[in-house]
Amino acid sequence: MARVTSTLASRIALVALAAHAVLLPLLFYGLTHVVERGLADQFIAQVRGFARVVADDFELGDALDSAERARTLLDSAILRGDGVYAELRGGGLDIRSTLSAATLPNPKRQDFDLGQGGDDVYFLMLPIDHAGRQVELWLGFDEKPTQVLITDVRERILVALGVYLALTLTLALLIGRWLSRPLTELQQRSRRVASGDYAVTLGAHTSLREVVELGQDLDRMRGELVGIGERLRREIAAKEAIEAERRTLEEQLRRKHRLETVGTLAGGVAHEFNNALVPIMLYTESLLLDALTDGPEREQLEGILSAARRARDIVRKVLTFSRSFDLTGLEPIRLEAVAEEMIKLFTALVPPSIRVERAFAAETPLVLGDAGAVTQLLMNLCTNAYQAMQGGGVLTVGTACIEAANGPAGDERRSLVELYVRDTGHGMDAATIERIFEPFFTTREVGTGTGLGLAVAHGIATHLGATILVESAPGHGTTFRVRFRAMPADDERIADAARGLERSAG
Amino acid sequence: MTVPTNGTANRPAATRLLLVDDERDVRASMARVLERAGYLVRLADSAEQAVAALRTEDADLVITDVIMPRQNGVELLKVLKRDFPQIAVIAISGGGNFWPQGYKPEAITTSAYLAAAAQAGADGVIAKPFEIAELLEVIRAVLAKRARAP
Repeated sequence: MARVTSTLASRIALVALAAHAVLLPLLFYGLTHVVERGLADQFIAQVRGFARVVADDFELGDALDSAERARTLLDSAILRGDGVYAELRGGGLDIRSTLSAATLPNPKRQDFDLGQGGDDVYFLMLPIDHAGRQVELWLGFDEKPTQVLITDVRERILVALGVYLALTLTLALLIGRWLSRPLTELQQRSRRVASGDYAVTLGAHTSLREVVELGQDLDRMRGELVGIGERLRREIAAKEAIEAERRTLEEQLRRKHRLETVGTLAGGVAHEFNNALVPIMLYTESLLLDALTDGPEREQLEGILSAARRARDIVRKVLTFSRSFDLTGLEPIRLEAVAEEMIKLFTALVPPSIRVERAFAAETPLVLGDAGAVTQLLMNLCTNAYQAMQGGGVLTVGTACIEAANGPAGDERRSLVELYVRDTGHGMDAATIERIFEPFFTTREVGTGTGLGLAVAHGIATHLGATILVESAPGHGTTFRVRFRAMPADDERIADAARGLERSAG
Repeated sequence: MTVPTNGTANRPAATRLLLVDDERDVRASMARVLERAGYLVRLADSAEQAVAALRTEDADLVITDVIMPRQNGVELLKVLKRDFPQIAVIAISGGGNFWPQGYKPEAITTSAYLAAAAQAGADGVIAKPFEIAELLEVIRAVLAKRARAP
């Protein structure tokens, strides 16, 4: 209800109604009074005029001389003037017309206005002076026709005012509607803007100046808001990007620190191991050289030597993990070519349940690297992928070009070439990803893996100046991405390599 | 595997080696192998002892470990190159994170140490652990190079 009465149209109608609640009764009483008065005065003037004529007849004629004539004149007065009562009283006379209403009592006093006396009869008395005789002429007229007329007129006025009120209220509602239509339109447009549709222009189809100006003001505000919103969105996006980059860098730094720590520890352990292995290998070999027969002792000594060699190889792998390459010794290589060779080799090694697919991007730039090192890196990643897909699956080796955003030539942010290995295996959880590159970290059973494959891959990638990223989730497979910095097309080393090829071809 | 076991008979004068390593087992096992190959081997357990030994008696070849307490192999190499330039030097290393002063902390691997030794003037380098044949081959190559050089 409050909602209905709070609309502009209903407010205008209510105001109109309130105004008319005061005005209409006044108007009604005023009008009926005027009409009543008019009709009453007309009636009174009429009957009084008629009474005067009758009185004159008595005064000037000789009707008073005979009771018979007097009664006849009284009867004719009733008949001519729609009277209901006629009487002569005083001066020794008391003559009453026989046509007078029998039920009427003798009037005590005359009426001055319509409706007096409560008897629906207008009584008046005229003194008659005829030949020295003082006689009172009493006449009575029926008030009812006039009163019926007055009631009738009053009812008509009431109906007319009712119709007028209805028309006024309807008009008020229509005017209210007409006034509120552009406001409603403006409101609907504002709501669309508020809900995010900033392309909507605020305004309304109207010639009402206030509404037009309100629309223009709101539209200016909308323009401001759109600007502010856009600026905020850009700033938030920029902040988010910076935050994401910071998190990535922090993560990389943390991992790097831990790997460095592990590498340093591994280095210390390696030193001790290598020194301990020297006497083991040398004494064993000496004993083998001294042994004259091919007895069981010889077999055991060879066992010791082979175990020592195995230990030496493991230590060397650990050290590869933190080895520094001499970057000047690297040469331009095409990752697809290296990957293709590796895939040929790898496909021959894995069972048919593993499908190996290539997804090489066209025209990737050359990168600075070492074909042997990249092959080893790729082999380690593929081995890891294969081991994650014991029930079979798809292994994808691919490349992709990642363009640097507005990086000038020679900039650190220049284009990257990505080499990726994707498997459809069991995937890893965050805790595993966190430690995946640590030496000796393995999720497989003891004895089935060295725990060095990915550590070595990380070591190689790092020393080739590449970064290595992991994307994985349990049940969703794993993707390793190795990102190399693309060589600028005008790098001298590319030209050198091309000349070298020409020479060898010639 | 062909290893000269009776090299002494083929040589007019046995080659004199000075073996420097802080680890007793490494020294002893290498000495056994080298003596067996016909070399005259003297031992030192530190750089200081090695220099002292050379001042008393000359040697043809010094085989030194790189990572040793107090004076390390690279520092010994510098002393030898300055005071005993006629003596050939072979550096051996098992890597580790006890880097010599002045070398980058990331140079914690065998190859990095050996590269440092080579830069300091070592005639040959060899990574620990090694097999007899590898050791003898490096010694032979270094001595042959020295013999060719004036």
